[in-house]
Amino acid sequence: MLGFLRGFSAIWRRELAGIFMGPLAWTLLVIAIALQGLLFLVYLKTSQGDVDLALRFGFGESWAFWALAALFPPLLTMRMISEESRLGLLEYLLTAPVSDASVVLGKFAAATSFMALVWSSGLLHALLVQAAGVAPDWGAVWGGWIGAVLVSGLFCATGLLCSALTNTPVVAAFGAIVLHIVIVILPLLSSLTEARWIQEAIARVDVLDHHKATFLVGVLDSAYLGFFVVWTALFLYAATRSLEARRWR
Amino acid sequence: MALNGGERASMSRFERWAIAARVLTALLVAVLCALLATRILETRLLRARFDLSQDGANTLDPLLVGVLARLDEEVVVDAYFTPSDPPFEVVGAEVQDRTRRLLRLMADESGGKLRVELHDVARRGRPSARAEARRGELQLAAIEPGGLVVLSRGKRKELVRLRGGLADLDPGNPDPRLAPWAPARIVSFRAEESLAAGLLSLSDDEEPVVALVVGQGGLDPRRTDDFGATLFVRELQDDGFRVVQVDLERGQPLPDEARVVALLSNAQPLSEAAAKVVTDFVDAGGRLYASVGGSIEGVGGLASVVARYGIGIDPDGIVARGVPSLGGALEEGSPACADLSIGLDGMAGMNQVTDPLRAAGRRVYLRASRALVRGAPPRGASVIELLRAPDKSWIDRPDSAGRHDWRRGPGELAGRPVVAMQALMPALAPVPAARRRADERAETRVLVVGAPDVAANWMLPQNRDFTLLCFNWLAARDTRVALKRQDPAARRLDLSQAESLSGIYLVAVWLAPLACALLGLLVWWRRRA
Repeated sequence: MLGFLRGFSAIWRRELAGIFMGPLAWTLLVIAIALQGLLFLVYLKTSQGDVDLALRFGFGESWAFWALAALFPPLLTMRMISEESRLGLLEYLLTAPVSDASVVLGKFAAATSFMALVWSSGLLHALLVQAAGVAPDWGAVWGGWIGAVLVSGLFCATGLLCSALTNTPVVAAFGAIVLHIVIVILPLLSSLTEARWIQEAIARVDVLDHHKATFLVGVLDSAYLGFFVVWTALFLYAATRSLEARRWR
Repeated sequence: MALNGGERASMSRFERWAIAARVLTALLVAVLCALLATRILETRLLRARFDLSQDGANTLDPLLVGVLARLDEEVVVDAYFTPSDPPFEVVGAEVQDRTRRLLRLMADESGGKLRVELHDVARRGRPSARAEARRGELQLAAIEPGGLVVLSRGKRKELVRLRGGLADLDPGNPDPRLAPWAPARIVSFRAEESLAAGLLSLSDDEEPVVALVVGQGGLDPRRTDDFGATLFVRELQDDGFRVVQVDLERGQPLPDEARVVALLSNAQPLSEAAAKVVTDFVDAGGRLYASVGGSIEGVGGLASVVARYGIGIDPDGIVARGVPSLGGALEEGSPACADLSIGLDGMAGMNQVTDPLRAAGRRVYLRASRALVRGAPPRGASVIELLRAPDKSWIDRPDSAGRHDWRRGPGELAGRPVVAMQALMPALAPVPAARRRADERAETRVLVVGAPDVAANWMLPQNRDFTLLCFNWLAARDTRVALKRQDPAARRLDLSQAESLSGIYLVAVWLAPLACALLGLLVWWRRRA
């Protein structure tokens, strides 16, 4: 267990450093923060100054949030396995004294940490409105941030799976983005059908609803937390198996 | 042990399909395991929930939790939401949003006994076939702007409208020429209470009949203006009562199934025959609600009707109290002295009518109320002082011309006069078979409110809960609850103040991204160096 944690920690730090050494992460961060800042002002105006509503928009009530959540993780994870595999660096990693699971988990943690930083701009907006004299509902703000990180974690896990399945980063990113779009528009498909069993089946895997119904309004519910943890774990498990399969090729 | 090229090439098509099938099966099993795990995590035993919100907006009131726990069969909640009329578009959408969340919480808490169907006309542009089918089943003629929520159990249904039911809305001031512009706002979000009351009404199979006596110049249930009683009738119907209008003077009889007789601020006394019909009904285990109107004396006057049950009405005084000035002192001499606001200290304790109001911190507003006094009740009766005027009140007597000076004169009784009373006693006469109930004692119940306008259209919105609690007590129904309302805290940024937005704009759109870009450049520079 200690060895696993040591390996995980080493991979995490290595990947995080890798992310911030390249220009992509900084570019994404600047775009995300500027865009979210601009949209926050728009939300404030459209909600007639309702601070909580505007912050909720930034953490998951708006399409802009879901667009960022669907697009950014694949851009981060696309190179994590496929690029390394293509360049032959993965061989070194897999022969190092770390398990496949700690490799996948370390990369996942690094990508999710970056996304947590991206969503921190929402916390900055909350601080700004507090400085302007209106204290927001901090419980809902932290709930929204935790939910946003969990959503990103799930999308980073799917991104890693796609990255593990192919040797071409662009294909990995494209595959993950398509998968994320399907996940995001799934509830819309539900409204196109009258069949209750389809609606109920979709509701069971509806990521938007699981985020909006609890975290976004300031509720930490173990069932909803479990939803994200279980599905993220499933994709990470699949990514680990896929990485393991590379040894057999 | 990796497969070499030769081994891979030697694989037959069958073997390849077998491997693919195994991979797919493993994938399917993993997905099923994930679904099963999420389902297990949803069970109540393993579930923990923490509401981080500041005002506990996501936590159900224990009373509602109790109501949900007592549901014995499935209740379907159909929510029809449509865009609200101007100027309520934004706040209407917010009420709908909060109601959606509340329904979600209730459904989660009910353990499957509450099925919620959201027919979101506002979002989808046109109602779905399912929404239309349900509308047909529920016999809803039209959906009003903003929408409504229908609770149904079998054939019984309860409607909760958006305005007045789910929330009280204030239009604000959309015209800045008259006064400073103010946006529409939610005065009080009371969906939790309304839905709890609806659920309780559904679980009560009976639809008590209220016989509203008309023809004496009292509040008219057909008049929609301030002094009509259309709202009173609608609220009673929404609360599960059936209201029947009876003109006793024209010889119309009280319906056999009538449970409560209501005399709403009659301007003229009843005829002797009509008064006898009422007293005969009440004596035989009937229930009487009366608000004191204009003329109360005489043979058929309200004073003589309720005196029989131990409640006396002061014939010519009006309960008054000084109006608080800006400095806090009580000023006399104004007609506003006749307005009474009765809070916790003026309400009887341990009482079915006032306890829910006390628990929820509500007040009762009365205007021009007569004082009530304890009379000589029949044997076995108990007379309870339900509401008392606030401290430092007095009974203002008119002068010889019938005018009030609204000042406490030397002969005018000061103190805390009683303004609402209830009397409870064993039935004074045998209960007719049509009204006899096996699960209930044969009891006579009388409730008198001294103020004439307590149930009028202009005052009912403030006194809705008090009035409905009175009728539910009279009908011996335990279906009213008063929950603490969740009034949204005013967390709004004043957009008219330019500096409040410019600071946010500067930091959020420029400084923060710029700082990030600079940091990125620094990292790049150091790495390059």
